[in-house]
Amino acid sequence: MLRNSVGVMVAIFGLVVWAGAAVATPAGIVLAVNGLCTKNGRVLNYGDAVQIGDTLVVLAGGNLKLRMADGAEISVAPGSSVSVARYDNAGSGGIAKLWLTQGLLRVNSVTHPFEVSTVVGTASANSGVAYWFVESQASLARVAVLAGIVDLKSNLTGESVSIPAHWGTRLEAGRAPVPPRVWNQTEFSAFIRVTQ
Amino acid sequence: MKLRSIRRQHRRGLCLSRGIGGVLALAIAGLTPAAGRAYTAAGDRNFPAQLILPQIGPTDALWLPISTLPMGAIKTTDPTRQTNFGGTYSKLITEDLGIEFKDGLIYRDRLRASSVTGVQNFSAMLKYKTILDPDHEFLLSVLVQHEFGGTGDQRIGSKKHGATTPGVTFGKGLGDLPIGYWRPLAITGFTGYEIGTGMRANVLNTGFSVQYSIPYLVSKVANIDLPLFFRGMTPRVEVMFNSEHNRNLIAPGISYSQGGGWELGIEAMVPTTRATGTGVGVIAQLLIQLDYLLPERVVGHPIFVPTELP
Repeated sequence: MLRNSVGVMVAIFGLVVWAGAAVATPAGIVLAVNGLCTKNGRVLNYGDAVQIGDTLVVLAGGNLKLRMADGAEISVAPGSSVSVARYDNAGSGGIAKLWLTQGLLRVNSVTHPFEVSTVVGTASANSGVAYWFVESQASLARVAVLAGIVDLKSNLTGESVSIPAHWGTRLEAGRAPVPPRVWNQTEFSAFIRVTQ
Repeated sequence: MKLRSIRRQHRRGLCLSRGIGGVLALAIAGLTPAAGRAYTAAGDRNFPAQLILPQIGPTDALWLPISTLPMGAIKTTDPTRQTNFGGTYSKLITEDLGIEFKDGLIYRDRLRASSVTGVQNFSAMLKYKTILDPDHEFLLSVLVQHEFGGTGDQRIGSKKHGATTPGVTFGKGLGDLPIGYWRPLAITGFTGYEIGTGMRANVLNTGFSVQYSIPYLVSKVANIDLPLFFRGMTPRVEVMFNSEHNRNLIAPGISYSQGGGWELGIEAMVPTTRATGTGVGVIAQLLIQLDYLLPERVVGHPIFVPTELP
């Protein structure tokens, strides 16, 4: 009995320490902010910390750039809403999981797997360094890759496609991913322009 | 960082000089496997590599076709069967302009004579993607091909004189039309006029294909519960006409790919005239997509990269 109680106490203490450490080590910080951007409803400013569980919203006309704890950089386009679901510190096989409700992200990831979930599917960078875009709409996701390899998996069918550098594809709700194809400069430029 | 070296594409402005006098040959001659086939996309429509007709757009790829076709032999030494081992390498110069090089080996069984093996005439093709309309899944290219006469073995039918073929090729998906389960349908077409040099006659080559893309069906129309194998399949039929000796060929078959930078095609070759052949042949082809497998190497993207992305 006493042994069990001690065990429980140790476990609780461990959780408290872990939670404290998690709070103390942000998943990332705000590198640049333009226009109105919020974190959990509060206005974001340059240098603010972003924690696991935070929801970031970039309103129309705004723009947000984050530097994550592992060195990854994320640009959030206007009209986007993204949550940090998980961000294990990188360098030793860290895992990053974001939830993109709507909008567009430009991701320069160094951790893998680096996942961005959307309404219709999940994009996952599985190469060490990847430079890619993921867009989420109500019934559609698009992924385009400038460097590295990113997989896009359908939530409904479970099918996935691998997208190499300079390629892109889309996924519609309730469908398999469209086979990837080479994207042209015009298509990439459209994504780059709104995530500058 | 490597990312800095990402290329910028999209520039047009190259004119095809007419007298290129030296590029191309739709080795459709004799309606055997032709040059220039690959996978190409217009919007969400992927056009699989064609086996009989030329490919509709320039790309970075390598094709390795093998075909065999019974022939109608009448007199001694006439071929009774012709087997081709081909190879085509396609390279993008710019995003819209590509060049292809093709050659191959021909093995001929002959009537009351020993078989012979020899190389085909070498040919090259310039292809320019003239129209790309992703919303309407339409793509059109102009091309000029030259077959270099005398570079192959005449004993297997390679001609002494060369030929230049200007032509046009296109693909159109029906996905933009409100036709339900018919939306995966697509058609492609080709017309080229082979202008011979020396004693070589001029020849009109033309053809079309009709295809039904299962990958398009499951990704754009409806998530039909099909076995994995079928989900990567595109049944189609290619039809080719050749005005020389009225050689016509119908080739029903399938194209198959699960992504990953390769594609396999196989078709029956059904001659409709004795000049084309006397029995059903078969053609198979492996496509290696260099732009997918090596996207950051020069073999996997256009040679000229006008500007760079940030």
